[in-house]
Amino acid sequence: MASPLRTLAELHGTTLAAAGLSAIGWLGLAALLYGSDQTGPICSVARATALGQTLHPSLFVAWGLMVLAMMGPLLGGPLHHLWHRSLARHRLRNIVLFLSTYITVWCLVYALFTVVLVSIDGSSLNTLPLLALTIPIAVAWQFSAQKRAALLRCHLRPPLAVFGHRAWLDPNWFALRRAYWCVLSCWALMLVAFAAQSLPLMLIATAIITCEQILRAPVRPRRIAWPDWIRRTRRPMAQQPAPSA
Amino acid sequence: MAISPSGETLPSTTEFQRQDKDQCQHHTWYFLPWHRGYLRAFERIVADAIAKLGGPKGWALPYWNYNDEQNPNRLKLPPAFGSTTWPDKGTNPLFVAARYGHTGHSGKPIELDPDAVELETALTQALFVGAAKGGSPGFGGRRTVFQHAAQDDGDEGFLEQSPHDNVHGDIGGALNNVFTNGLAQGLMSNPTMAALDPIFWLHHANIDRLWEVWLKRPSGHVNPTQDSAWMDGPNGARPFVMPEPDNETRTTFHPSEMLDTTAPSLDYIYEDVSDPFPGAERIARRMQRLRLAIPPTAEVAMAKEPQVELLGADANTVHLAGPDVAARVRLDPATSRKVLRSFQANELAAHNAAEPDRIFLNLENITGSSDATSFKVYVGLGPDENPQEHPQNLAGIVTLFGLNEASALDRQHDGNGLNKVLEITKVIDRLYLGGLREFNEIPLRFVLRHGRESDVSIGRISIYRQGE
Repeated sequence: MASPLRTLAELHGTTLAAAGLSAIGWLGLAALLYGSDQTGPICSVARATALGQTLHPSLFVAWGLMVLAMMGPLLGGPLHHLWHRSLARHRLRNIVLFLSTYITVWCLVYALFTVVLVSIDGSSLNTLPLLALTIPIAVAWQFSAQKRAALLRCHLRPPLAVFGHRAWLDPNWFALRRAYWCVLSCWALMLVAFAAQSLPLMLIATAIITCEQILRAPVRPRRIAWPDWIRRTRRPMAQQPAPSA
Repeated sequence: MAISPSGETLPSTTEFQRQDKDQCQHHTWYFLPWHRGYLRAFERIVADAIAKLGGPKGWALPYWNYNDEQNPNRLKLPPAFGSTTWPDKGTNPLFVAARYGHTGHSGKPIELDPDAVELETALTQALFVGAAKGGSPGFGGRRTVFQHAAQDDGDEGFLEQSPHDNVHGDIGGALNNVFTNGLAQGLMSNPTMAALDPIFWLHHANIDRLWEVWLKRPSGHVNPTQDSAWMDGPNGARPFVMPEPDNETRTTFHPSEMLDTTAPSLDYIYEDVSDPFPGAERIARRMQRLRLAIPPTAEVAMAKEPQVELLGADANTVHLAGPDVAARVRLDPATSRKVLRSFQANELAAHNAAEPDRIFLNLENITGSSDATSFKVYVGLGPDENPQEHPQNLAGIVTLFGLNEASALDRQHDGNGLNKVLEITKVIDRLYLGGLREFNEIPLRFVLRHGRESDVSIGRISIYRQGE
């Protein structure tokens, strides 16, 4: 039986470009983490005490790298769509517009993460209390019908206008829609990775997110021994299609 | 869920749910090999049942050759399928009332439209695998992973589009103009239920035969046997698997096992694999039409990866809100000039000129619910012209087989709708020969054949050039 790895072997040029963007993101993050200051955070607010410090503009660069690193593998489809559905001379322009808007949306989400997490534990990210808080949230979200619905909508590829002002707006509109569904689908896993400030954990989260895109289904822990009282109160999941063989 | 008016339901066995359901391959380069595996499994099951009932061994599936020009009744549904009774007055199991949808069997035999079984476009494609998105989808479809329904980057090959889709739609929908739900459509128009109509198997046997006809055309047509992703496919999350006659064993297969019909595992040949278009390849025909020098060999033109480029598009949604809908596609002047230069360069060259650009119309993001909807697409006709008076402007028939599934949003479908590709090179050639030297926009007409009006919308209409 063919595996998801073989699926990955079916790469378009634009998928390779997306992988390249991801690699740039990872290299940038690694440089930030293991660069001049061994103890420096990747893109967070260690020891930040004030909101102004928390949202320092330089952090947006690090957040942008984090988006590229973790979401890059998912962008092959959108880049393919933009490339083949645009006039040849507009291809790069439309991709730049798309990426700018997409990364901006995620950076705003990171800013929100930062404000929320720092307000919970202002001393530092990467603390056990924060992980203890975010991991159960992420697991719960993986089982939600909303997560599944958002994941499916990540594959929507809207028509793109070619002429007039719509030709400039449509790549941005596509990026906004795509980012919206990506954030809704992945925010909980990203929150864990963000709170942990750990490169390995980010890699694990990226692997999960990428598998979900390929399989079009949330990656969920199997055979969880739910306590009886939870089993009784859990609502039935939204009707699902037959599992893939 | 009931799948027929009599309340029949899909099997609930684990094997069916996990392995069989939603396996059929469409809008992909696996369309032909998967359906050959499907035909083989069905033939084995029926042959086994016949033998067990004391009938002859070695029963083989017949095919419906609706392209047989020698047969005046070729377009009519074979009588054995249209009669409600056997010659001995018993019930005819080849007749299924659900074939005819909610309006029921009118007594009038189903007859296909000659335009719906158009073959030349498919059989004259030199390549099995399609070019880049927007360009030719090839004879057999674009490269994809396992693909049950229209998704992401796949496109139907020209054979899957015509006659395959059109015959499905004409049998399942020709007699009905209003559908209220999935069951109201005739079985053949719905991909999930089509195989419940016995005529499905004869139709697909003919599609399978046409694959052999294409391979045997004297023009070097070959399957993508050099590509392990096709030969050892499918790539993706699921394998191809079929039930054996014991209905317990399941056998997986790969396209590489579906190539030689005389191999023991398949063991059949077709009575008629004659070439309906002898002695003429697409490029040669086109260059003759344009009165241009024919490239020394078609292979020279095919050796390079063709360049596919968007020429223009209209992203305003077109609703097929009536029996005849007009639209216009604005073209990019700079890219249009490239097309014209490709024609002029050929005129100036005495020898070794490349083929002028080929032009493809793409109907993107087609969404709706009526699978049997079918319309004719005319190119270069203004809103005041009568399409019936301009058959030379007919670019092709589009039948939206699988529309309902492709418009859904679930694990197997991404909700983007169908994408259809029509080659409109012939019409553009004719306009060029008629003196047209500037392409600013191309008018289109969509003339409904059958289906539900107001149900279908086209997200974007685009035009691509494919050249060197």
